[in-house]
Amino acid sequence: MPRPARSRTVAARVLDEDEASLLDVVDSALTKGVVLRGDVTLALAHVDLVHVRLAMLLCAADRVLPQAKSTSARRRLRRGLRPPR
Amino acid sequence: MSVCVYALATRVARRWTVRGLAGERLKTVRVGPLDVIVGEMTYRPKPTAANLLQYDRIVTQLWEQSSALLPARFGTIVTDLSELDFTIAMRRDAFRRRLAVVRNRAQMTLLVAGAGPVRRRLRPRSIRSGTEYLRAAQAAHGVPQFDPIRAAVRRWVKAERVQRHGSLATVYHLIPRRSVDRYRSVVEDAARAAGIRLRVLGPRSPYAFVDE
Repeated sequence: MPRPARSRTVAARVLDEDEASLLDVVDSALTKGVVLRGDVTLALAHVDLVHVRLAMLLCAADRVLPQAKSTSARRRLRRGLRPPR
Repeated sequence: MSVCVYALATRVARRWTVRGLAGERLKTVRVGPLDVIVGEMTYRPKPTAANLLQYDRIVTQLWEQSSALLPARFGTIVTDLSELDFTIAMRRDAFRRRLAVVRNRAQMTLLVAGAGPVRRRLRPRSIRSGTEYLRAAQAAHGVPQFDPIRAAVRRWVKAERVQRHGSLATVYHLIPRRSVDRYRSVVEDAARAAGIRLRVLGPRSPYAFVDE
């Protein structure tokens, strides 16, 4: 009997379990919703000196960190090491 | 003391009975035509499962009591009300437009299994224009087997967002609040007929539809 692909098994598991709604809550509250941000320009004598972007954001790490190329690279990133070139 | 932002709403003349994450009384701050629902907190809430679930319960109750509401992302904190006024005022018109879109509507979430892998690489040689590129990108991230379900519920869907996570796809639909039961039943019937495995979650506040 052919073994099902791993990703398909994970998808099926997500659908079957009660945690699906918890995943939906976590995904929604952490990666969606209104993000407030603003821009401030500090000026002196009508000359713009510093432009500051204010951002208030808390979200899942994979939304803001660069995508690692491989599992080993992701593991190294998690351990605080530089990914291999 | 910092201010935790829970949601943006159109003007509502009410006192909120819901309590915030720290048990604080929620209040409404008016910024132009918008109401911003906030609570004053002495600490920053941590993104634990318990806090996220409680936050979602708070936002859901606020949404149930408002005709149009845009939930804020968990952990949206401003230091004081003048900062809040400044950041909201900058995007006031965009928020008003989004509130008009979500008014009396609910978000439904469909988890669809077996979506197939996302084709990350598009073939640049075969693409001759920006439009062709966008169509190819849309097709690469699309969920073709979802088409019969989309067709079955088209009459209710005001907006759609699709996200892919490997072979699992998440489809968000914005539909009228009063049509939730009928929508759910039609989706489940259509999925059964098409042999598609999916799970319907919702209704909930329109987290996925806060941006244009």
